[in-house]
Amino acid sequence: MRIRPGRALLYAFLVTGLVFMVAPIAIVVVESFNSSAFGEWPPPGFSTQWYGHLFHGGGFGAPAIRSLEVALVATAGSLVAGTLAALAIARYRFPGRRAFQGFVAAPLIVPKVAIGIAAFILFLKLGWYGSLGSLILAHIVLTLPFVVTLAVAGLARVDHTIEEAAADLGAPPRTVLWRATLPQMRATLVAAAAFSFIISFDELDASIFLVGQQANTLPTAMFIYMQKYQDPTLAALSSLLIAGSLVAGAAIAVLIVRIGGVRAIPGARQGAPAAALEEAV
Amino acid sequence: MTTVPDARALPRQDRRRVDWRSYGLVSPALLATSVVFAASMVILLIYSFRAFTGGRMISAFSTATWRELLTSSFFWSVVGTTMKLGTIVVVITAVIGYVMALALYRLRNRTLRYIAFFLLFSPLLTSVVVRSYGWALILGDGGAVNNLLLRWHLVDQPVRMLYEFSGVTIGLVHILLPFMIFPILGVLDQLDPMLEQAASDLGATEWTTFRRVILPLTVQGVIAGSQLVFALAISAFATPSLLGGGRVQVLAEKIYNDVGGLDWPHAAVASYVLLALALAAIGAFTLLLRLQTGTARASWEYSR
Repeated sequence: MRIRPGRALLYAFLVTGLVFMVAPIAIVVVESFNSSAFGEWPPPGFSTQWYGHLFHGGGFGAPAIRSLEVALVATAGSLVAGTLAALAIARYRFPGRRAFQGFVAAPLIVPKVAIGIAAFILFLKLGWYGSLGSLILAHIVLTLPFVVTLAVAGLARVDHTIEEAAADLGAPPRTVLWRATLPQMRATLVAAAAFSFIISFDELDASIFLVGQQANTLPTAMFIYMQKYQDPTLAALSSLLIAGSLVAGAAIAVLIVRIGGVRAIPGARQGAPAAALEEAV
Repeated sequence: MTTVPDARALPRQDRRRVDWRSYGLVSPALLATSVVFAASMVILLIYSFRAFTGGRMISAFSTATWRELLTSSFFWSVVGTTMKLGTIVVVITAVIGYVMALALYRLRNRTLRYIAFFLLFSPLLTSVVVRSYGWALILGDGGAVNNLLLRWHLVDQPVRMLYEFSGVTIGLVHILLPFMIFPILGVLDQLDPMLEQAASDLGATEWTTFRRVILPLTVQGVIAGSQLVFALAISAFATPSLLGGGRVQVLAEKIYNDVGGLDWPHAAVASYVLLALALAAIGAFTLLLRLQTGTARASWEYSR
């Protein structure tokens, strides 16, 4: 094989870039075992005390449970509302169809901080401020653009002959939807659910305005903690979250591969966020 | 680019001119977005036309807050910092992202490709707060980078990066780099390998092939990525707050601080200025994209 210095340089750059991408995550894991309380570098010794501190009075338990609740309910809500909306957009003609599609995607191009303060004022006026329900509602609106975009693209790939066959064999529309349409877009729906969950679980910019005094989610609790303290308790928590996200990421990847591979997800190559933004513009 | 199937291919019942059931299907999404997003943004606009003086809000229509902010040099310096941050982050991610996307495109070993993709996109699964925290550990005065620089006697005293513009830039580049690589890789993957082969057969060096063939055909990926990265960079909140430590003031932080001080009108005006900047940038990049695709198509047709 011919040695190409250009190619070697290109790969060296890629490796450097990947090191850059992994560096802050790797350092957090190392820091979580640092025996020094103020992040001394290099770590003077090894310690697991920060994990102990995390579980005994770290104050992150309630926010973690709250974040899981919000993310699960918001994902379910967004998936149902988004898939229904996508069915209407992809299958029916109705006045305002294009306008509706743009409208649902619009929260994507508005800065999250602006949505956060706007929803904060509204919720305060309505007396909803600080409730878990209002936060979930906000997260549904923030995740809908992704679900709708993915589901519309997924529906476009559904094989109509299977639906027609089901209808010809006497299946009512509801059965056609459940047994012929939705099973064909499993990969899309899994991807949409994963997207929604991650966005909701990590959402900070809008949520920081919406969580009440005593109702922090995990990201807002971590944000506030990091502004006040610098000890490695946050590193211990972050390491657990990193481990959790890797396990969840692997599980989703395996699930999608078993259903039909990345190719089964529309727009996977360009990236769903880019596709959704394009839709909104 | 909506992919609605041809009406003739749809089952007969779907071809009726207006199907009122569709309004039932869209109503949950429509209702949620109308209330939480549209109605609240209108209320925010109304609040931008209120005045906040002496620690309380005056509930009469007033353009005082708009006039005050738009003539305040401090406000414009915050806008300037925000735009500067967005521009620098776009330029850096475009250069790094393009080279990395090209390397990934060239990488033919499937296993290595999967590993690279995993390393590139797994950071997306972790919270922005975690990643900013990681950068704070790396960039701090006693952090990993300064430790190495001091030990190798490259500097006499720690280089200040944390709580500086440079630290915020590094953190944002890290968070937004995948959003640049994704669209560029998407365009690269659609490239016809025959073009490169043809250029090479005609005697072009690898560099010439890149400059005359690959780059012009993939510029639209860079534009699409830049649009996304710029819009996300100017609205970023967590990274500038945590890595800027209050010393790097961007619009999103100003809005958060205004709300903390109960000054809703100022926060409302700043929100709409930020929204206007984001929309202007997205519009500009869309225009650029159309011009670029137009030029590409024209030259393609000319060459035929």
